[in-house]
Amino acid sequence: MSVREDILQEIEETPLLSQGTMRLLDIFFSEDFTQDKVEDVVTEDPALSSHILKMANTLFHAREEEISSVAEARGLMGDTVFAVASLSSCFPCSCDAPLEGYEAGRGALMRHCLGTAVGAREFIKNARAPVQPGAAFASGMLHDLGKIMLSEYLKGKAPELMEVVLAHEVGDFLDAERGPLGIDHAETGAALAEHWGLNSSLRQVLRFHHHPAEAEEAYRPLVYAVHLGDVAAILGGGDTGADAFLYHIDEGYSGYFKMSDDIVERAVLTVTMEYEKLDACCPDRFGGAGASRPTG
Amino acid sequence: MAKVMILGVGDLGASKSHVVVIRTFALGSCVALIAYDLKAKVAGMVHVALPESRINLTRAKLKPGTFVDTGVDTLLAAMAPLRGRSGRSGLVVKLVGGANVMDKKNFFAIGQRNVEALRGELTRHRIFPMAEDVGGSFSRTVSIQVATGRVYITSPGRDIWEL
Repeated sequence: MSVREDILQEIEETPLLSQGTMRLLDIFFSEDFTQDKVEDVVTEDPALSSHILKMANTLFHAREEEISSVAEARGLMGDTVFAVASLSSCFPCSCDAPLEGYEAGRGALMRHCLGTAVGAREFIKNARAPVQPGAAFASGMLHDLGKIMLSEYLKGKAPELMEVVLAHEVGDFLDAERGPLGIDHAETGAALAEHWGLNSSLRQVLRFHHHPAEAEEAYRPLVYAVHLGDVAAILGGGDTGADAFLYHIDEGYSGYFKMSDDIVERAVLTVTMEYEKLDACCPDRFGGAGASRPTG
Repeated sequence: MAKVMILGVGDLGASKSHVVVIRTFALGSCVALIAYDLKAKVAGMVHVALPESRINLTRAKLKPGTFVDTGVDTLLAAMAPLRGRSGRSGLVVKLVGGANVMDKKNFFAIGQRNVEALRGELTRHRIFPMAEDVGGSFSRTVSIQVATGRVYITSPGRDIWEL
């Protein structure tokens, strides 16, 4: 069995998302998305409630009293971190797990996904055609699911993969991943999305977030938003380790978004300030300055 | 035992304690300006994110280190009492960070804009960086040992190196 087949087999064996999590995703992608509706879905679903309360009590472990209601958790976390926490129920790993294959420390993935979600939400403010904010946020949060599946297979290979990209032997880190594995994190993420029965927007985002021009036309504004959000997350210092900066910007974004130096700088600053809020909740867990990092 | 002073984005720090190491993590497009007074053995560092404070004036008041045009003066002012003097005499300055993504339109070249703005601001003070490790396509974590002024850089997938 090839490594690619092993990975695809592992995806087939990955447990499906709960009905509650699927309902949560429907809310994020609905036209009338609101944070109140997210809170309602989380409150009504015991597994999601438990996930949020566990995360809230981890984030605010210094509090004397345990956080016992979803509403209280949302109040303490703020809407952005609450949305991130709820969507992290989709991760097939603990939300602060390191990506060892990418040499990314504990919480780095979560931090990067938050940054991409916030960045995508910022860029759609300048979209030439409307993009639904909940969809942009959720897509940004979940765009790198494929890396979770590949990380184990890439252990110890990151320096070699970086070298082939920097030597221009391949075009980007996706190409480099395909060398030893026969599959990259975008294709892997799309396969996981299909296994889970995720909506077509998410499938397109997971598959094409590094090459948005290849997405179906109807989905391109959303896929480009995540593509740009991904860049803002990295520029703001929230990368996933060895692959940071080793992708190209698809310049087709100008067909879908107004752009200027100021727009980019405001988006990156907004992402940075959201990282700070996450760090204020828990400085040593999500890749913040206090977290342990392999880069030390 | 070393005591690590950790700086986040927009933070700045200065110390003359010989047990202190000043460190900032994950410099993407951000740049660390590192200054060291050879005589007084005082180190300072600021982690700047963007060139100009006009992007967010409220933030500039709260965390002037976020921007080049407010961060440099603020760092020099923070170091002055520890040095027992102000000005550029005896000050060694290094720049680290400012990575870039490939973007022909240059809207996303924040790293490059940060480095250019810092060089300009330092020139205004008649300070010229002695060493730079800037640009490229990788993020950096940088530390300075106050006792020695030695600057070390790490990055995922690479061995530690000294600037």
